[in-house]
Amino acid sequence: MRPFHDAARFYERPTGLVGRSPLRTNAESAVTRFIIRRLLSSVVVILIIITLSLWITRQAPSNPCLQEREANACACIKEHALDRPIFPVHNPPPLTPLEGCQYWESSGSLVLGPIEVLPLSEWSETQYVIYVATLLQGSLGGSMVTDRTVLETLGAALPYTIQLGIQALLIALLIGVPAGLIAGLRQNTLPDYGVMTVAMVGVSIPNFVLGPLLIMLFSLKLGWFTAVGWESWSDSVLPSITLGLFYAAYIARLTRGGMLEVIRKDYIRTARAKGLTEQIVVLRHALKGALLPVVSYLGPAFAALLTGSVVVEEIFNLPGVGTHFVRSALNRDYNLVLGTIILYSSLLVVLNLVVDILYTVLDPRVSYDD
Amino acid sequence: MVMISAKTMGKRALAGALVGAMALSVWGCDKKQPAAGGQGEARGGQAEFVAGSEADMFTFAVAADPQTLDPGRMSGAPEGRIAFNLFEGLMMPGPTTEDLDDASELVVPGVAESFELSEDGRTYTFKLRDDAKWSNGKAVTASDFERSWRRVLTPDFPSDYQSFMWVIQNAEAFSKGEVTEWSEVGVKVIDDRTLEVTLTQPTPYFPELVAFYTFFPVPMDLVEEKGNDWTRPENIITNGPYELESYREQQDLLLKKSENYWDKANVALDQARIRIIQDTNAAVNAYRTGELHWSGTSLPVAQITGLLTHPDYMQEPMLGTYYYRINVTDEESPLTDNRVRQALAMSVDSRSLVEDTMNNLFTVANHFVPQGLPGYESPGEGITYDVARAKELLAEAGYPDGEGFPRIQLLYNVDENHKLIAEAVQSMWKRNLGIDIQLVNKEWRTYLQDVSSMNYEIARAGWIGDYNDPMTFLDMWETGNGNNNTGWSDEEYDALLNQARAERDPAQRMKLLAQAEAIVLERGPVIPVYYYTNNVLVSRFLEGFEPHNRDIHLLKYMSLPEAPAAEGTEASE
Repeated sequence: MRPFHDAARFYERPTGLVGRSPLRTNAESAVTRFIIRRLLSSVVVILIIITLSLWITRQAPSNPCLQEREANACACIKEHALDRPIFPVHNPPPLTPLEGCQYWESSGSLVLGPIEVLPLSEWSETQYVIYVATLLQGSLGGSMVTDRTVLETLGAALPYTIQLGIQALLIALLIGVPAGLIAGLRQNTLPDYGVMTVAMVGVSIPNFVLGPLLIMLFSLKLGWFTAVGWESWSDSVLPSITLGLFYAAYIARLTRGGMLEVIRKDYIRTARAKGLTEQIVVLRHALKGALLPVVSYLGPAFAALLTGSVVVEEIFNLPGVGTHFVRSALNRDYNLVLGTIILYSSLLVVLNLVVDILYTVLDPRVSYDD
Repeated sequence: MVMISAKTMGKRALAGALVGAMALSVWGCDKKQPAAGGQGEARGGQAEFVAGSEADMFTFAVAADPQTLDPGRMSGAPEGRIAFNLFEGLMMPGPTTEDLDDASELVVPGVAESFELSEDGRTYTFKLRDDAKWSNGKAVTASDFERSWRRVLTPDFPSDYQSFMWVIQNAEAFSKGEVTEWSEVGVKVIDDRTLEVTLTQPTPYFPELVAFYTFFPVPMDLVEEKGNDWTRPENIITNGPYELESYREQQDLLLKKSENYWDKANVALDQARIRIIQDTNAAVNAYRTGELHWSGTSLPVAQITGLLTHPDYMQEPMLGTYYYRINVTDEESPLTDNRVRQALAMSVDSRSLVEDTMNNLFTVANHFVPQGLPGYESPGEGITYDVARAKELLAEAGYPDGEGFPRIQLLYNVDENHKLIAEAVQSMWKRNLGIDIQLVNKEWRTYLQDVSSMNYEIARAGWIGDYNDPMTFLDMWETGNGNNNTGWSDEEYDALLNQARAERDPAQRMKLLAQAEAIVLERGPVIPVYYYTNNVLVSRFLEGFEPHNRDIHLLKYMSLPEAPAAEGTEASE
């Protein structure tokens, strides 16, 4: 970001992209080029993530088929073997037999004959090729533990995680921005100290402490909310607060910092000199500049809220993606682990892209050219 | 704040809740006093909450999503809980395992109204009832069982309990591909209503096996048509007291009483909700807030301790033993010396472990086979706490007062209970024998791999019996058994078990098994610690819920009389 050259012109400029016709086409094509460039690099990033994840999951000791008591592990390994194409692959690479196991392709009670597979827990190029081919077919494979597909499982969980993330973000904004503004406008007064102390505490309290505290008070003692699960909207209140409060505290600090910086600018003095009321000065002129740091933080924050709800989902027993992320790793459910990683990394990439684009709306001087 | 609460608030209290929550968190994060006080009060007035008062039907929890609803392929506890209500085998588990005179009382007729046992104890002839039906109205026939069992026995069919069927003649050979003709396997359909099963050996616990879900019938036409998708709620056909209405991952399953079930007149609960609550803390919270009638899973020491005096607390004995297993395959290790193993076992004070470390939640174990199996008498005193004798044995083995004893490792999987026990045992061995051991804890799957590949010295273990017969605890120590995992092998022991298998006289058979257990305790690779119990919360108003040592509780036996008015719940409206 370049420094303000002409602050007075900045605040008089109309908001948004409306009414800038001469610049418009140029800006639009720059944006399009930027988006395409970013999308392409995103694909590469995700491909690298998939490769690394596929390799790393195989390095974890044990495999999804091991049970406490003797189990039909051979059959399990073969049922889930990734080396077995789940759809026709042209010229499939040769397969090596899994020691001690002969797989019988069975369809109902009809036995077709033995085929050979590789050990499930070992990395192989074959697995990689097949996995990527599976992705290209629009599938994430089947869970190695349950009878469901990864797409089904994540599809059922994602709406909850997204709603939780949005609500937590709203709470963070609705608490954080006003609190930060109050603190910023009343610098070094009691409200400022009060708000910033609370924000400091808010940043410091981990959600695995806050969550149980809220449950204790509002579910067990007062009985206002259910303690676990997500049946109706009210069940999402405590989790959203638990998740959002850290961000509220952080946003309060950002807003205060932004406000302190902006409020001393020349264009604010100009606005005041024009005789505008303090309300208009703050809301129309100062606020936009003060919120820039907050806006640039929103993307990472939202991404962090979506991917960081693991603990909150566990505490409140929510049917979200985070719970799957933890459980699938513990179960060595390779396909579900990979599916979750792909989902999370795609969310991160897309959200960062969206934020970069939105940034122009608030600050048109941000350039998309290299 | 206002925006949020104005949106879809149903409860008046909610707006207040939001304000309160924010007050707590924004304006007074260091005010932890109210919350802590709340906990104190909740504990003080435990009886205040009424189990299930907030639930709209009978509700209980299971600890995980079912991996499958296919009884032939399932193996876990949540799956079993569901299968026992959706499906029905030839026989079914009875309501309780306590105070039975005879093992035959363990099971009650299911799809079979009766069975006959041949003179040699090897052939069971099951007579199926006329009115047993699938949920689609079709009759359940003998060939449904035959086809379902054949499916489980298909070579490499991914069933963890396939080996339960190996008591049937030629079943093992068939499942291993050694016999390819199904007609050679001892399962014969005589007619629609008669199934004849021939076993390799007399197996007194066969009726209890038949009451296990691996033996349940599945709708084979549907299975062949849909593959693994047959268990989806929109496809599934069942033959038990309940039908599956819906399943939402990580949330719940809804069961609805089946109109086609032959005994529907005796099914009191019209519907049930099975909630999936993975975290035991969350399960206790759900119970306390009235969302559950039954915690469903056993609660860990930390969470149950505060509720021991609550009227809903219930302890069921369990057919299971918590023990340490010893790897005897390393020639260099002192653990191959039986005197060392005995010394270690004798210097573990299991009474103190149960009473002091585990808060009396479990039962002291001196034997490997739990007490109370009908017809079985445990051999002698078992392993008793005897430090003097242990010291002698250790000295005889060449390690007087632990001198020169290598630093061995004790492996357990990450868990608070396991850690407490391991630390106590570590200090007992240090104090009593002067030997140092190193505690190693590993994540569950890694621990499993270490145990199954025998990459450990001493490891924590647990064994839950599969049926009410000592055999389920003893056959695992046979040479080469897949659950042995210690490398221990004893010819005399193997011979005794084989003798017991062939024995027709039940009393004599039990004697042989007791002799075998004595061998395992005298020179085997085990140190028993305690017998498991199930520590659950279950509504005191629920009727027909009786202790069952395999934790099998059929909804069919339960009823919930009109729930009493919830007391002290004004805050929840």
